[in-house]
Amino acid sequence: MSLLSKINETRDAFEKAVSQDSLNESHVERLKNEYLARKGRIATLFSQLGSVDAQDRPEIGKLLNELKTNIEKKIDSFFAESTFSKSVDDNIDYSLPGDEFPSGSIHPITQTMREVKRIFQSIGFFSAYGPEIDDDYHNFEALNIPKHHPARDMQDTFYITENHVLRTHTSNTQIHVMENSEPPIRVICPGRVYRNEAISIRSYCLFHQVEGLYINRDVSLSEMKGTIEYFCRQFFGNNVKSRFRPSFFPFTEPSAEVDISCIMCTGKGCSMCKKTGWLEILGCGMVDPSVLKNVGYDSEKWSGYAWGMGIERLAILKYGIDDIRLFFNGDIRFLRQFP
Amino acid sequence: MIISIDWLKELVSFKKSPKDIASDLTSIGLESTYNKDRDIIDIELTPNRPDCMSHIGVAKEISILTDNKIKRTKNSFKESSSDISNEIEINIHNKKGCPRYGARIIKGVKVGKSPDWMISRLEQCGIRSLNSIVDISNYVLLEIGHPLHIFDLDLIVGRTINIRSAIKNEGIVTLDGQKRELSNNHLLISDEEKPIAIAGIIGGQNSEVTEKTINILIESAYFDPVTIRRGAKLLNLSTEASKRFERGVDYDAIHSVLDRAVDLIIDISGGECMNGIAESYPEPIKANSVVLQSGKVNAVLGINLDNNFISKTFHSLGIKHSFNKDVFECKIPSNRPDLERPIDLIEEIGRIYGFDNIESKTNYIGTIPLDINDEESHIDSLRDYFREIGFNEAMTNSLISSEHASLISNKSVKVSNPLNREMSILRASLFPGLLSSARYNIRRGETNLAIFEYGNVFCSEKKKGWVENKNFSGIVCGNRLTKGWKNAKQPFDMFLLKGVLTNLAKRYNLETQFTSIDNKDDILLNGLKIECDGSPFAKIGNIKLDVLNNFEIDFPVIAFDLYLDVFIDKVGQIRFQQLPQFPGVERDLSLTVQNGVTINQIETIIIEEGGNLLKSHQIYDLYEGDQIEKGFKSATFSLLFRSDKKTLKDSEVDLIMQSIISETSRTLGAKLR
Repeated sequence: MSLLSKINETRDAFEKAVSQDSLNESHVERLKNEYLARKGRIATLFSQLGSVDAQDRPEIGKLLNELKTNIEKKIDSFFAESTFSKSVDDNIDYSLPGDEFPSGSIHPITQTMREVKRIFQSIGFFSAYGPEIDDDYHNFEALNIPKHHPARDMQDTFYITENHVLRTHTSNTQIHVMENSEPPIRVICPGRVYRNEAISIRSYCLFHQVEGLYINRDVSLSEMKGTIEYFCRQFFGNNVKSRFRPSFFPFTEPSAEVDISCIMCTGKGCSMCKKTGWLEILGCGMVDPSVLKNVGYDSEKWSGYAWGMGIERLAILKYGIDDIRLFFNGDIRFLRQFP
Repeated sequence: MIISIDWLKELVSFKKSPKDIASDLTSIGLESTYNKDRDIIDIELTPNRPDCMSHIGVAKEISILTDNKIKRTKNSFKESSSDISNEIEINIHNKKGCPRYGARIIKGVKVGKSPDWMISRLEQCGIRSLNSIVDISNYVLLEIGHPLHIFDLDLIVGRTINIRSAIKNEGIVTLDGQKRELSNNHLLISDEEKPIAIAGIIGGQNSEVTEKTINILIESAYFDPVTIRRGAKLLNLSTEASKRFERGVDYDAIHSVLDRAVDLIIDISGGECMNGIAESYPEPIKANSVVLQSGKVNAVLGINLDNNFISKTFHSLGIKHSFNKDVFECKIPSNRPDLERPIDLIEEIGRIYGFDNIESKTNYIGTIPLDINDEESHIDSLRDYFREIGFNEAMTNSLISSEHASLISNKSVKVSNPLNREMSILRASLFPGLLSSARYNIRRGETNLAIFEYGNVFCSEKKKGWVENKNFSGIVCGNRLTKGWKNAKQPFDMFLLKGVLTNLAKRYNLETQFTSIDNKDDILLNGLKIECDGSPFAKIGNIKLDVLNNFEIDFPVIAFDLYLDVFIDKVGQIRFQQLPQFPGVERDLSLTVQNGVTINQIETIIIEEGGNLLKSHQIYDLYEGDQIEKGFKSATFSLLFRSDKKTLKDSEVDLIMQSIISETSRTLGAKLR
C-alpha cells in the first residue's frame, strides 16, 4: 500500500474513532497515545517518508503534516471542551464552601506600630532603635532624672545591675541618637519598654512605645502642637479634637499631656473616657535645656520638642480591647482576629 | 491629692461649679477629677508641684484663674510671758540635711476628741481621726502642706533637740510600731539620750503624744529633699511628710505654720503657748533669682505675647520682678522650688496663657530624615511573608521563669528586683514564650498552631555582661489545613517547614543549602540547618521530648529559628533573567537505589552532570514496595533541559541523560527502572 493510501486510511480511522457518541476522556487519552506517541501511527508514517519518490515527497509530506496538526487540534479541543463542560456542570452544588487558606495574622501591636510609623514617616520622621538594657545614665541621668529625685517614682524600674536597667522608655534611644549625630534631628524611637508593675487588666510589666524627637533652630511649642495634632487627625480621624494640658516630665519643659475627644462618645462622656469626654493618649514637651546640655548641644542655638506614646494604649482604643494581658499571652483566638 | 470643695471654698471664693473648676485646674496642669459623691476634687499631682500638695496651694491656683484673693484665718492666740528659750535648746549638727528648724511649746493641753467639723474634713480627705493634737497636725498638713511633728515635751530628755545624722546600727521604734535599723544616710531628731524621730519621715514611739500628754513641742522644719528621699527609700517607707519634704516644702513658712497650729490647738485642746519660737537657721536660704529675656518667651511658645501679660502673670504667681531693657529679673517665691531657670518661667507663662490657646503651626523647617532602616523593612516583610502563609504573630513576655530559661540556655541574664520568680530571667530565646503560648492554646482546645514572634533576646557574656540580639522564631503543631469536603488535611511536618524556608530563601534571592544538625542541639531533635554562603541562616527541627514535657505539651511541636543578622546581610537584589528564546526538552528519569542513598546525593549528580542546559529538576515520585527489590527505593525525577542559544536536539539531551545514568550507577549503584 502506498504511503498516500496509508495516510488516508489513518485519517479515516481517526475520524471514525472520534465521531463516536460515547467518546470519553480515557478513550481520547488512548487515541492520543496511539496516534501521537513517540512510536505512534503518525510517527511511523513519518519514518516511511524517506521511501517515497523524491518528486512526490513534498506533497506527501505536506499531507502528513496536515494530518498530524489536525489530529493534535481535535484532541486538544476535546480536552478543552471536556474540562470546560465539567467546570460549568449544572449539577454542581456551588453552595459548598470554597477552598480553605490558612489565615495568618499580624499582632495588633505591630499593626498599630506600623500605622504610627507610617504617619510620622509621611512628615519625615524615620526610626532609630536602641538597647532594651541600658545604663542608668541613658535611661535617667541624661534625661534630667537624677538619682534621689521623686521623678524616679513615676517609673518603677527593673534593675539588672546597680547601674543597668531595663529601659523604662525609649528616650534612651533619643540620647544615643543625639550623642552620635549633630542637629538638626528628626527621629522616632519605637520599641519595647519595661515597668516593674504588677500585672493586671490595666497594666503589664512591659509595653511598647513610639517616642519622637525634633531638634532644629527656633523650634517652638506651636510647631509641636501642629505635629501632634496632625498625628491625632491621621490616626483617629479628622473629626477628633485634641487638647494640650500642662504637665510635668523631667526631660521636657514646658511639658504637656495630650487628650483627644473620646472616640466612643465624641466627648459627651461615657465609661471609656470615665465620663470626662477626653482620652489621654500621649505626653510631649519642649526638650529641656539640661538634656540638650547633657548631649553636648548648645541650648541657646538649638531647641526642639519630643513626645512619647504607648502603643498598647492606642491599640486598646483603636480595637476596643478591654484587657492589656491579651496582647501577651499568645492566645490564638485573639491573634486570629487581626488578619 | 484630695481636695475638699467645702474647705477650698473657705480659702478662695469661686462661682463656677466644682466640675468646671476641676476642668479649669486640669487646663493649667493640675489633672483634676470631681467626685460628686464625696464632694472632693482628686488631683493627680506631678512631682514638680509640691506647692499644690495642700488646700492653700490649690486655692492659689484658683485665685490665678478667678482673680479672687486668698482668705486666710487670722490667728487669735496669745503667748504667755515665760520665754521658750528657757525650756528648749535646738542644735543643728547637719546643716545640709536640715537648713532650718523651728519649734513652739504649748503647756497644759488636754488631749481629747477633735470637733466634728475637723473629723469630717479629715475623713473626707482619707485620714482617720486619732486625737485632737495629732488631728490638728494632719489638718495643718492638708491645709498648708507643711508637715509638722508634735512631741510630748516631757519625754524629751535634757531639754535639747539635736538634728544629726544617724550612726550606723542605730535604731528606733517608729510610730507604726516597727523597729527601724538606721544608717548614716538617715537624719535624726534626738534628745540628749536617744533618737526621738526620723527627721521628715516618721516620729518615734518614745516621744509620741498620747491621752496622757500635757506639754507639747511642735516642730516645723525645712529638711533637704535629697536627704529625706534617700532615707525614705532606704526604709522603703513613704509618708505624707516624706512625700512633701522630698519634693521641697516652703522654707519661709516655718513661722506661719507653727502659728496656725498653735491657734488651732489652743482653741480646741486648750493650754498656754510659751513666748517666742525656738529656732535654728544657720544660713538663711537665698531666694532663687531668674533672669528672663522677654523675647525668649515667644520664641519657645511660638506666639506673640506682650510684656504686660508676662508681668501680670508673674504678679499672679507671686513672683516679684523688675523689667528693664527687655529683661525680667525675677525673685522666685519660697514655695516654688521647681522654678530655677528661664525655661521654667516660660512654662509658667505658657501654662497660665493656656496651651490650647497657642496656635498650631505646621510650617516645617526641613531636615534630611534619617536613612531608611533596612533592617526594619526586612523584618516587616518577613512578618508579612509568614502572615501570608498562615502564621499568626504573637508577642510574649520577655521576662520568664528560671526553670524555663534553663531549658534553653545557661547563659541567662537575671533581673535583680523581679516582680516574682515566674518573671525573673530575661529570655535568651523566643522559644519559652512560644511554647508557653502553645500550652495555653492546647489547653483551650486549639491544637492547630502556627505562631511566630520577633523580638530581642538576651545572653550573658563575659566582657560586657550581656548581649542583646534580635530573634525571629516560630513553632507549628497540628494541621496546617484540616480535612475539608474536597481536600485531605495537611499536617505540619518537617517538610512543610522546610518548604516554608526554601520558599522564603527564594523570595529574598538567597542561595541556600540544607544540612542536618547533630542531636546535641539544646532543644531540637533531627533538625536541619539551612546555610547561605556557608553561614547558617536558619534551623528547623522537632522540639525535644523533655522540653515538651517541661511545658506540659502532649503534642509534637516543630520549630524554626531564623538568624536575622545573616538573613539581613545576605538578602540579595533580584536580577532580571532573559526569558527563554528556544523550546525546552522534558525528560523523566526513574532510578532504583538502595534505601541508604539520599535523594540529595542523586540530585547532586543530576545537577553536576546536567550542567548549564539543565534548567530545573523535580522529584515527583518516591516508591518502596512490592514492585521492587526489598531494601531499595525508586525515585522518579522530571528534568527540563533548554539552551539559551538554539533548539536542543534529542541526541544532545540523550548524551546528558546517559552521563547522569552512568554516574549515578557508578557512585550510588543506581539502576535505571
